[in-house]
Amino acid sequence: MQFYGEINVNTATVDFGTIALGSAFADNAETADVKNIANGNYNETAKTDDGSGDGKWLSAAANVTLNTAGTPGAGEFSLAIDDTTTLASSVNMSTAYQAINSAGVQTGEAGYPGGNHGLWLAVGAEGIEAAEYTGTIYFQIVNA
Amino acid sequence: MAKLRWGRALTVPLIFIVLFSFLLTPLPVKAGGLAMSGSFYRQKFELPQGVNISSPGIYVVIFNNGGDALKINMTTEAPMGVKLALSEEDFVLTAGEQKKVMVGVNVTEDAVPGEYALKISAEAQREGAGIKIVGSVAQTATLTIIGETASVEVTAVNPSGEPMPAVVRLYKLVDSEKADFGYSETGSLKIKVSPGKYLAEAYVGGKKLAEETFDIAADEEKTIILTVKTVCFEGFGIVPNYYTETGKLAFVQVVYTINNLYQTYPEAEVVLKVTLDGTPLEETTVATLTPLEKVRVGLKYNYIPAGGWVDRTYGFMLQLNLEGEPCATTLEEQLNASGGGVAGAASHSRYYIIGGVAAAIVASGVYLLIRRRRKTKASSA
Repeated sequence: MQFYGEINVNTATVDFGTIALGSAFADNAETADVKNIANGNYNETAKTDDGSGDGKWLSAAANVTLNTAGTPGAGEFSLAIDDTTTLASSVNMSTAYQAINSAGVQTGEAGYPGGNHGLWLAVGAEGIEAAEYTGTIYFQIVNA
Repeated sequence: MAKLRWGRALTVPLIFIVLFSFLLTPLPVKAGGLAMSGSFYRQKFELPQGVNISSPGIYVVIFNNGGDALKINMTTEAPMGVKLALSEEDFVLTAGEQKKVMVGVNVTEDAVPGEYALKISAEAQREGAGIKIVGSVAQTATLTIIGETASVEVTAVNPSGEPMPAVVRLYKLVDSEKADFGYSETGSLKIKVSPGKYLAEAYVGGKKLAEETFDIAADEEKTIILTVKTVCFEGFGIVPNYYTETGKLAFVQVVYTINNLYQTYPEAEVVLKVTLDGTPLEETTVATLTPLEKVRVGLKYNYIPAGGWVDRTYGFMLQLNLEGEPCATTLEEQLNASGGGVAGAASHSRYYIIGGVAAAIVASGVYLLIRRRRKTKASSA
């Protein structure tokens, strides 16, 4: 039997609302409903980009650049994700997929009821235009 | 555009506003329900520099199990000097649709020997503004780039030794598992390989007709000839028939099927070889086909030894000759003629059969006649 992995993303977009310059992860928390279905061991990973592979989120005014260390400077943002809503176990995102769970195992047909995944946003204290930004967050299931 | 100065010193607005929202109308794309299966994750590629491989056995399948169409973007991850070639990279999957994507691995001469991970991802794409969340599915495989190389040429030939079109597959045997290494539909495959153990197979009409396992060392050049028997026997069997009165063996029915997968031959001959206690007894031509069409045909033949049955063990085997040359044989089937008794000389056997059948018919007729008369008498009384 071949490995089968399915991911069900039930949250189409995430809205962090209005956030403050220099605000930290703990200040800007949201969740996304993501469910995994697998007939074998798997990993769940995540990444973010502008939709075309660049580490930016875009706006009409100016773009913000992804800081992968979780310490955004001027004109930068950082995004942390976890397969739970616990910030302490979250992982800083980059444009390459990062594991966000400990190894998953075979699920039932209904999938692993992971449900809400935590998303935390931090932004630099300066160099960011007031605008609505566009970006993409990817959740991935992959054979372990 | 008015320039705004943002800073903590300002009171209004002191807070920089970043709107990460989904103000636009939600897309009619249902998130999730994206799945992947396939054989790619099973692969343990061991390839030398300068080798490109692809095979129908290396693929992924992407499923859209959601209720709406998904725009899919395929991406790959490979080390420098290695390219994963996909049969399709961007496509749309309608609700419930799936797509098989073939995978090739191209290792350039510049690739650095070592162990690597390969990855194929299928990412759903979503249009519109805001921070979009999308699903992605992936499979990973391992690649070991070998610095040492060897060369092998696998050729499929017919029983006459002439090259013939066939599907040739080459597998590397690693830890008792078959890893796809090469594929050709022309009957010939020449490829650089890493040293190790390999299995070459030839298929015609989807049926495996020849295979060979071999080892190859660094810098070695090896030629593998797969002689493909495109005509073969199937379902060969011996059915003994006994006289009902004596229980002795009357004749055996030889049943078999000839499956010709490749082409029409002008003449084919089927020879029955019989042994008695392991010693050749006689050979009889049981069928001549002029021509032998590209077809699967079932045949049978009733055999009685010229010298009659004796109370010993007979062996039966078929040989197929194409244009006078042996092409295929069956395994030997054995029959102990003493098991059910032995009939008399062959020259009398047929008469026994005919006589037996005639006697049975006469006996049945007499029985029915007597029964009818009894009924008639009863009704008269």
